[in-house]
Amino acid sequence: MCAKCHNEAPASPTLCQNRRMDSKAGLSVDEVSVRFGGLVALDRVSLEAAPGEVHGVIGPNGAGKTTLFNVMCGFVKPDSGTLTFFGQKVHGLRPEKLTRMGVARTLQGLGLFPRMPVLENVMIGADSLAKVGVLRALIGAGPTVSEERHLRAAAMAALDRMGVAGYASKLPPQLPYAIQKKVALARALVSNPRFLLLDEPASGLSEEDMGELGDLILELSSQLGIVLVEHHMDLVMRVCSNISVLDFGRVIAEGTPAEVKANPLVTEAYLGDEVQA
Amino acid sequence: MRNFWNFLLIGVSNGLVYSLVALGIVLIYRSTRVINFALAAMATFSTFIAASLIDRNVPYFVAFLAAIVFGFLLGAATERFVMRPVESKSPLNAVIVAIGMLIFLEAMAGVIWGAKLRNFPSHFSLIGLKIGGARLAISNFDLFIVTVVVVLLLALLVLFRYTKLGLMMRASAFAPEVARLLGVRVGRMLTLGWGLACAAGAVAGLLAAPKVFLFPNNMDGVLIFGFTAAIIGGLDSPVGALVGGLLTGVALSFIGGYLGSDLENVGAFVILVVVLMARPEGIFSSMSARRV
Repeated sequence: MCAKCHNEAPASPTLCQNRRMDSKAGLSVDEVSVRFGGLVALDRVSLEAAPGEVHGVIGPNGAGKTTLFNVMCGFVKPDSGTLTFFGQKVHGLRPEKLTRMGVARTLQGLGLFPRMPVLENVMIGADSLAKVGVLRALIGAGPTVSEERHLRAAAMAALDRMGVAGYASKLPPQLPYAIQKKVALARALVSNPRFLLLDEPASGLSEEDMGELGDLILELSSQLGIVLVEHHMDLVMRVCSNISVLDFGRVIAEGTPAEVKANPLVTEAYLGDEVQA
Repeated sequence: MRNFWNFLLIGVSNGLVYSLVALGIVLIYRSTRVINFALAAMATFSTFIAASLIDRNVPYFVAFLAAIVFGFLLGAATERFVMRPVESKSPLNAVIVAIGMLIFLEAMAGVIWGAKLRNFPSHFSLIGLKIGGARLAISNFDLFIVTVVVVLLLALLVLFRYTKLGLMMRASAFAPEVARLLGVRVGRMLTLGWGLACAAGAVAGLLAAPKVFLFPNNMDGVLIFGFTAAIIGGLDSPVGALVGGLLTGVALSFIGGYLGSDLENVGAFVILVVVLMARPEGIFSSMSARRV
């Protein structure tokens, strides 16, 4: 689906004339600050992510990457600054509304429901596709049951896309970590988001799985915008078209992977001050 | 021996009512970690609504349904307007507010309908059934209780297991933050959960009233038995609520039958204390005990 004009599946992305990389189509974070008591977690951070690209957010531990994600998905209210999603200011919006606007997020801890089968886990993510409201669902069993079937099909398709449809009836704790990660990703994708926020998707994965993940991210990025928080530099440098570097809650560098790699400030943030010889 | 079977049957019939109360407590506890002590008053209030409709010659079953709908709306409104503001604070605040609701609603029932005992019609005969020459301790009304509770439990089972809405409600109960992130409107699910819980309470009130009479705090005792049942069941399991209710009902029926009916309340507390000491997480709970 075209991110800008909502045309169902244009023949190819380039055929849709409205698909321009303007800010109305993307997520922009503008001068956002977050303080926890005396600690400044984010200090006037700005970031612009466009559909069709992968925007990386990197930085040492404690730099504020996860806080930035929490702001972008509505968990944390910024003390100042604005968020603009798809040309609309979204100050004070709650996570469920953002998800319904088309922003999906995966969690570092995956957040799968341990006592629900994989399929049901993914079905919950498809809720925002649903048309039947609470009242109608309570009154008439008919639409609810057919709706449930619809969700089930959507969830199966998402699992299938990740190649984990065979685990649909298993409980998440029974599965290897890499499979659980794919389930979490399927759950984020099942709502057909326009933007996907990935929080350390590579942590705990083997070298081989990580290569597969990179392919997947690149494939997905042709259909939606992705913001990626990640520690594995190989992956970040491979898939990102733009990178923001955070350190102590501030953006210290921004640019293409090559530019960021060459920036001395970045090396300093990761390795400490250069030793004066 | 006939006594034994009679006590057992009475126990099952009463136990199903306790199960409904336990279910009302469990549905709310597992999504909000609040024990809704106001459930007793909500049940009584709904029963009074049915009683005054019946006084105005409304047919029994219409009044019965109206009371359930009223219970649902009362529960939903309580969550939305009374509990929501204290939701983010310590659970203790919510418990105190619930106790406040209990006192308020019971007092209001007294103001509106008066504090004296009154009969509540049962529609079905309360006289024991005859099998052969022997008269059993259970009546047509007890069979009605069994039918209503079984239908209600099956309906809830279908809702939670086989519908989208039930799935969202379970997700909201297990991990509200994650559910929010997935686009589930958790607030609405909570409102709905309180509505369903209090509707179950209303049914319990309607089924208990012919036996315990109707007055502003007629359900207080039943709430204690239902609470015992919920604890036995583990507080977060609907199946546990059903089994806990049956166990409590049967145990109290035997205690009342063999040892004297004054001892039923004492028996409930003894069961409660023993369960809390021996197995504080209940029989059916999936939670491990929390260390404080």
